Amino acid sequence: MSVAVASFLVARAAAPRPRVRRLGLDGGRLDAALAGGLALAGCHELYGPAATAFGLMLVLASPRAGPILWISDGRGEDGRLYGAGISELGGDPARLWLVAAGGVVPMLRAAAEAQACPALAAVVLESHGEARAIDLTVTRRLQLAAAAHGVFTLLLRGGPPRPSAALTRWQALPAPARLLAAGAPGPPRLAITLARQRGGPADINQLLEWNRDRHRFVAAGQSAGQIVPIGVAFARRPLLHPPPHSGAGAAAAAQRAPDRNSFAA
Amino acid sequence: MLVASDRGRQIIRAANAAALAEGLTPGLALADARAAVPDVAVAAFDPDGDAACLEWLARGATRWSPLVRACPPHGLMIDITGCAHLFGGEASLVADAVTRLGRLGFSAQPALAATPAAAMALARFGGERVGDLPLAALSDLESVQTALRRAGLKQVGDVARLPRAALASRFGEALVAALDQLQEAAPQPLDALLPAAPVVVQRRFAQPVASHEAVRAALEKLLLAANVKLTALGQGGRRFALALYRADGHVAELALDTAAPQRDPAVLLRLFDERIAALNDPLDPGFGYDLLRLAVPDTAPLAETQLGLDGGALAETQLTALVDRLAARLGRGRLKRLARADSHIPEQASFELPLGSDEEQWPLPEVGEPPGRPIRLFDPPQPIEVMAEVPDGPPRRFRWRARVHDVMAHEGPERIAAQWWRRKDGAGLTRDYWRVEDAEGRRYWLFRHGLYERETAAPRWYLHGLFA
Repeated sequence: MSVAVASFLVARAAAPRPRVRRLGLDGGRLDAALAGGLALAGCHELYGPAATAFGLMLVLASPRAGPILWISDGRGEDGRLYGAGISELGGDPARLWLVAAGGVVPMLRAAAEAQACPALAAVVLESHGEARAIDLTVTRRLQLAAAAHGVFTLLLRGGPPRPSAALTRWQALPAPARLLAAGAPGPPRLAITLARQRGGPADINQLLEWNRDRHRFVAAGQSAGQIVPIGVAFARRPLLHPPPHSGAGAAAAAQRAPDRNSFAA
Repeated sequence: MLVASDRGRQIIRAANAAALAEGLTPGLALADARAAVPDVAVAAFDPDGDAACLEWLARGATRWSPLVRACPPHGLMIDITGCAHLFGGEASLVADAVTRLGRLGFSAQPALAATPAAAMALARFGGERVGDLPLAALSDLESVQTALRRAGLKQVGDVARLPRAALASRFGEALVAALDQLQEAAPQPLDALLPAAPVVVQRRFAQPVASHEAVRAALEKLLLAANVKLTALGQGGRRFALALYRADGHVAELALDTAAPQRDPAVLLRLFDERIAALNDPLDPGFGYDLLRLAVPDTAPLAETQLGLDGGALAETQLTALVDRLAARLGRGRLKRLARADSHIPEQASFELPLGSDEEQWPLPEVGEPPGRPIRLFDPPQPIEVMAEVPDGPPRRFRWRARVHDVMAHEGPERIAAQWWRRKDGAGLTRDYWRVEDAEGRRYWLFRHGLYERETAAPRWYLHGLFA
């Protein structure tokens, strides 16, 4: 009996703990509200004019190597993904596998197949228009599959947000970049709003600037050396401002940098 | 009888045996035919429909041999070299063909011969031996036939006995060529309707099978048989073509492409399941299939050993399996990757290629610079109206999609010359690209098409891409 208990305890101790890996975003109040960062084993919903850019940056910042499956339900009005631009954003376009599913239902079926494949770095679903078919049930299924297989899943909504069971929902808007010499626009900046979070605080705005060389976000106020007052924040809670180099983001970037092109080999 | 309009008159184009017996031959006017036989049945002549029907019959005839050719207007040529023993000999193959065609309502005139031309001639003119064929089998031209007859020749055999050189000088090369084609001297290869495949397995059913389960079980057996053959060859298939022959002559065809060479029956069966589930018009077995054939036209070496299940190989296997499943469901053409081309013309520098083609290295961007290329590209570029302070200066304000955008920050121009070396006149307009940001913080890639005054008096502006 005692041997059985002991072996059970040993087995418990040896079993890998279900580690929730998280992706640090701003090293500040967003990460604090997200309990350390964006859960990588989950489904997140993005909308707004800069949703594509934010989605691309998130998958490029995520530490997993391997291809990114970009499943689209059709052709949008905003042109095609441009390899040279993704390369300039710091990503390796060869990692991007594009699937033109040709409809919402084939897109969801393809996503279900893809989410069961742990060799992928991320699965991105890009829907255009209102896409009523992507409802509570569908998003719940996406979220469950993402959690079960640990595949980072992003749902880009072309239309307005609808009820969903995704872990978080984000609004991504473009924001004026800081100006470089001769008035040239600097690195891309996005005004991000955490619009919803299951079981956590929401309605948090943050200006994020993308650092393509390190594959990570920097809270815009910090990178420019000034605190930018942005929208609503938590009045009751003290704001956390650790230095930008701490947190999972830096580790993720350091880990990822040599990984570039590793899958292409 | 089939009739067609010819200069306002209804002319008989084809007639069946009963009509021919009444003396109603093609070329006769319908009015004259009606005068002779008042109750004659008439239908419209439809050459396109006939050709399509013949093509359909040819596909069905691949059950006997992969080498089938439709010979319009009403011939089917089947090369049964090496196939007859599968059907119990040449005679029973011919009998099978005539029975099947009869069941479909076609009357057939079969002929077997050593060359295609001889078979066709025997089928047309009847008879057993090539030598007994009439002179019409050698040439359609009445003048040639008359000349041959005047020379005392009555049959093909008589002509064949004469020296070729004399024949050629008197009656022309065409006659000698026709003679050679009838006599095996000049082989006339048939184009294969089915591609030649290194591995072909098939299954025949005495009773046609119609249920999905039975077809699936048969497919599984075919895949097992193909696996055995492929293993013996040390190969895996990259393409699997399944043909389902319905008892009524229809053929349903399904093809499957795999990303990596494959021969595992379980995996392939699952891929076929997905392929069948994704069909737009589901398989209709009708009265059942009586022949299933699986061909593997495209193979590649596949080692006997299992892949080691260490990290890299495992990920590779999982990804290959995923790509195969998605391709079976959606079609291989829907899986793309971003490929790079050595071109300085932006819309040609990046394009989409099928997944699985060789990957090329993308250049690393310069450290510390903002992105110089947009993440989305409009192809073709969208025309916009632009206001600039000076005609060759930066844009100040532009109108796109019925909205006015004020330019708050800009960088440029980045001058990209046209590909003058590709054009005969050496012309083509230079583009001046600007990276601009509007008041809302959206970043756009604009260009002015043509250098002001040097290339054009009124350069047009285009929006080419959207930045992050």
